[in-house]
Amino acid sequence: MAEIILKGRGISKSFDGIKVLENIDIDIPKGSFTVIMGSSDAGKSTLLYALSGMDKPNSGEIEYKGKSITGILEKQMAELRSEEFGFIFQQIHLVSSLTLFENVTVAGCARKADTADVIKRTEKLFEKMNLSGVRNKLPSAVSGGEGQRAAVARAVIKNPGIVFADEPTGALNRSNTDGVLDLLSGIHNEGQTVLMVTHDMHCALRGDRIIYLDDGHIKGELSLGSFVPGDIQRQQRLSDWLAAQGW
Amino acid sequence: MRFRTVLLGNIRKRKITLAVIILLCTVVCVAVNTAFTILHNSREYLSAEAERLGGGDIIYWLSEAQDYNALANEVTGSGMAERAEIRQLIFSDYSINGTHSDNEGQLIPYRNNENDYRFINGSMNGYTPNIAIADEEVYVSPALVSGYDVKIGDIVTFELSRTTDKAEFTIAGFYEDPIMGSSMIDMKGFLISETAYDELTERINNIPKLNLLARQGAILHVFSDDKSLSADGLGRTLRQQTDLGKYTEFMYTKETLSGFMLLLVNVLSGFLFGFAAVLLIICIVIITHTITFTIGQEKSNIGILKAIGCTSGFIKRVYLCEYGAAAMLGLLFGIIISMPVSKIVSAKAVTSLGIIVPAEISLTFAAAFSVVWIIIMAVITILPCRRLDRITPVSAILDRDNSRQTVSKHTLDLKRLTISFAVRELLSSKRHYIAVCLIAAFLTVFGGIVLDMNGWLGKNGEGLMDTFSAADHDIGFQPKTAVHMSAVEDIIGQYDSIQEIYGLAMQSVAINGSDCTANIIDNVDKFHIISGHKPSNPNEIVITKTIAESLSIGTGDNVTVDSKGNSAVFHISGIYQCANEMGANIGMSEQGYQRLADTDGYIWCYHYILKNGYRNEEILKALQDRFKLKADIHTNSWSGLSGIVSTMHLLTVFMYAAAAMFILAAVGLQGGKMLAREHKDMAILKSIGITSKKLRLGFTLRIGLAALIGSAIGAAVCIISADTLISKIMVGFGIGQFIFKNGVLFAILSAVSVSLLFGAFAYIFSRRIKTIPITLLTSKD
Repeated sequence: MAEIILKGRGISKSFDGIKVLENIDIDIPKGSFTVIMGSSDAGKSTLLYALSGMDKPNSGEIEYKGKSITGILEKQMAELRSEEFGFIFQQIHLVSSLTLFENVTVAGCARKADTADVIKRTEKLFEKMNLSGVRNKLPSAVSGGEGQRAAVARAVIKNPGIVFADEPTGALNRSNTDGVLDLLSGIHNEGQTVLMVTHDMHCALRGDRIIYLDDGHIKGELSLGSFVPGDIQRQQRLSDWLAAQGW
Repeated sequence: MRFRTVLLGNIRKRKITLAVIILLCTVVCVAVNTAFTILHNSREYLSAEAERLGGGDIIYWLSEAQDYNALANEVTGSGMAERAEIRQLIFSDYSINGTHSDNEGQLIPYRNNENDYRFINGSMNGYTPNIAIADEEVYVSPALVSGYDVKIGDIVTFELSRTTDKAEFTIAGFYEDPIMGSSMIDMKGFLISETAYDELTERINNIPKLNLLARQGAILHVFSDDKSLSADGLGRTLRQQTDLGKYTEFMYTKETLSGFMLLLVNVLSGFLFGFAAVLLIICIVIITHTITFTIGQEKSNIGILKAIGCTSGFIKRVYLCEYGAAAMLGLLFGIIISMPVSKIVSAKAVTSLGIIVPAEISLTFAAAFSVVWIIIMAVITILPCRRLDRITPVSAILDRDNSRQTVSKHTLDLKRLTISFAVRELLSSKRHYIAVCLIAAFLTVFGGIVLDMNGWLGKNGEGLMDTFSAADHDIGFQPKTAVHMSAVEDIIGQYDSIQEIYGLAMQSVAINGSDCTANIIDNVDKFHIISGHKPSNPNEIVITKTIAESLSIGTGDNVTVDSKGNSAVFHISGIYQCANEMGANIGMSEQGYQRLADTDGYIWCYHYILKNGYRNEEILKALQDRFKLKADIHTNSWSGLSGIVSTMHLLTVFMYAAAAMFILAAVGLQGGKMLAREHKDMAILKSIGITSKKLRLGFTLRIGLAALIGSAIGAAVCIISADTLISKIMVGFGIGQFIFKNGVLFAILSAVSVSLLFGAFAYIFSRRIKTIPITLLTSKD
């Protein structure tokens, strides 16, 4: 059985008295590519934020690598974010005054790090992600796909324990979407744990495990196995399962 | 309807920004209106009172004349004066509460039917009518409160002779003396009853002349016949055509006395006006940048408004009304607040000015200032609004930035990320920091000037004294009778070491016919020479800048100097610093003066320069105890100095408090807008593990660095021009040249203080960064 890198127990969250998550238990195995799906307002992103420490649940306990991260100090949380957690958001959230390259190196050097090593790794990532040509451009001067690829590079530059992706292709067109998904599949294949929220079945296919959330509860879980491009059966299987969940 | 809705919506949204603008406008308005009220009202009131009480164009203090009325008739008969009025008085040394005055007091008989003096009530905030002075009572100027800490019931002792003849009066109250009532003037009038005056006259007449200390004299008020003739011109003519020169102890024109009376008001109002001007400029900078930022932030809403058919003109009108209303409210509050503030300032000034300055603010001036301010506000609102024309609905809604953002040339230093990132932000968004930079520069210049002035003034006003005095000294000792100077030196030696002794005499003279005071020194090296050289031979004199400018003479010219009926030609060898008669001074050597008159007798005041100088008050007391009736003894001070020093120090505190408040407002408004603009970037940086503390430090560094750059520019300006600027202000008070040796140090101190304040407020203000949630980056689900 794979090691559980992130564990949530009894997670509940309400907004203005409306329950969005209710007593959720969830395990994220190390090296998995877990996708959280669900209907609109099912609480997918809320669960991701709670698990990643971006938002505090009203109740429940979250453990990362066996240690509770519920209620830890801001400084400790910042350490986790700089060393263990990587984030990819729906919008291309890059620091507007920094170039794409700087956005990534700054993330790599947020904590004590060998700056020469960070620069070397960033260059490699940019090459791999086909960003070398725009490395010295500001976010406002590049396309959405380039920006989001830089965001992926920023998320993985420090070799985090887990990458959280919140609708990472939500603001991209189809060709850019595939580019970003390929990157995510690529890092997963290299052993990276990924937890992604999406409402897009095309994106969900990349995951090896699907969790379906409905009305603040986990309704079902599907193990899809490793992603193989062009696997029609995998697509059908996911489609049928989602239909059974009420998708 | 649509206009009103949008306007109210904007006001609701920006209530804090608008509140700060209201506050800034209020402070500026209060400063300007209060300064104007005190300055204008004191001048008007003083002039009116001097005229009402028969001050005249020139006032002579006379002694030793047989018949003063005959002298007045001679003046009137000269055809130069419309009339001349004599008021008799008795000159006498006096002590109050055990403190002996350096100057003679002037006992003046109060004749109710002749002199309608205004008597001040016990609370010093109004007047008491129908005063009848009892024979044992005296009324004094409220300025004696600041000099001698007098209160009603205290005893004033007048020394009539060298033996035991004294006259004691109880202070029954205070009166306004528009001629010599201010603490800036050492001579003081004491109002006593006619009966008491007659009795004193009789006593003086019965004292043998050898023992006599008190003496009879008179004040001669001369009213010019020819209003086109200057007071100086009139004085010159009267000196030539009458015997006035023989009996004149001292003489002042109406303008000179008014200058003395209002010296403090002029200095303080000048500073307050200067400060208000700086605040005004800062206000303009803050408001202009606030509006510019607001338009940037509101781009999306502006786009929506344009999309539903609103024109740029409509939006401009909304902004105009929004900021105009804030400015008008600020001005209204300012006018209302300046009423009690003027009253407070007026009440506080009574014991310095000797008069109750009417505190009614000039509504005409307030209205004129308001109109000017509203016009300025309209201009600074309209100018940034030109950007509105370039905003299209689509570009605004899609948040496309029309302004090109360029990659900074500054390479990030990943090892020193916080500092490097702050520098990067500063360099890539220069225009957002210009306001901070400008405000820091202005405040540093002003702070440097105030520090300069304060430092120059010194803890006890010694700087001012050095400027007003013809030459430096710690103790002055002027024998009035035979005194063994070795005994004086023995006493001084018990407290301090004497480093230098020289003699200084002050004598009334006329230069090219114009009255002034000659500073005669037996060691001409002591003169503060500004240009040219000291009067090294008997044919040379030095003059002040004031004399040079008023008589259009200068170094190298030959002038005629008259004194005691004699006349001689002198060569002007240079310009020197001395303001003890508002700059109406000339300096000469002992040998030079001997060409005009005898220097025997008791004209010399011996000036002692001491090694340490911090026990001067003790020395003064010891000398006074030993030589009380035999000499006039003084330190390098005068009764009004403490008033000036404490007021100046208070003003400094007020200005620093106001400057701190403006820095807080600038950081609040500019920083708030910057943080709002960088909200998302802050959340992104938090999401990659940069702590709020580091982000706060970065923000503080950016503001601090911008302030430091501005402060450095301000300090440079201050170092280059502060002395010149202050000299320009001081020239009106007879101080021809202002040089302060610690100017560079104070400019740097001002720059550091301003930068630190910006940094400190920025750090406090950046607490908001802690509350920026990362969830603002997330999608809503």
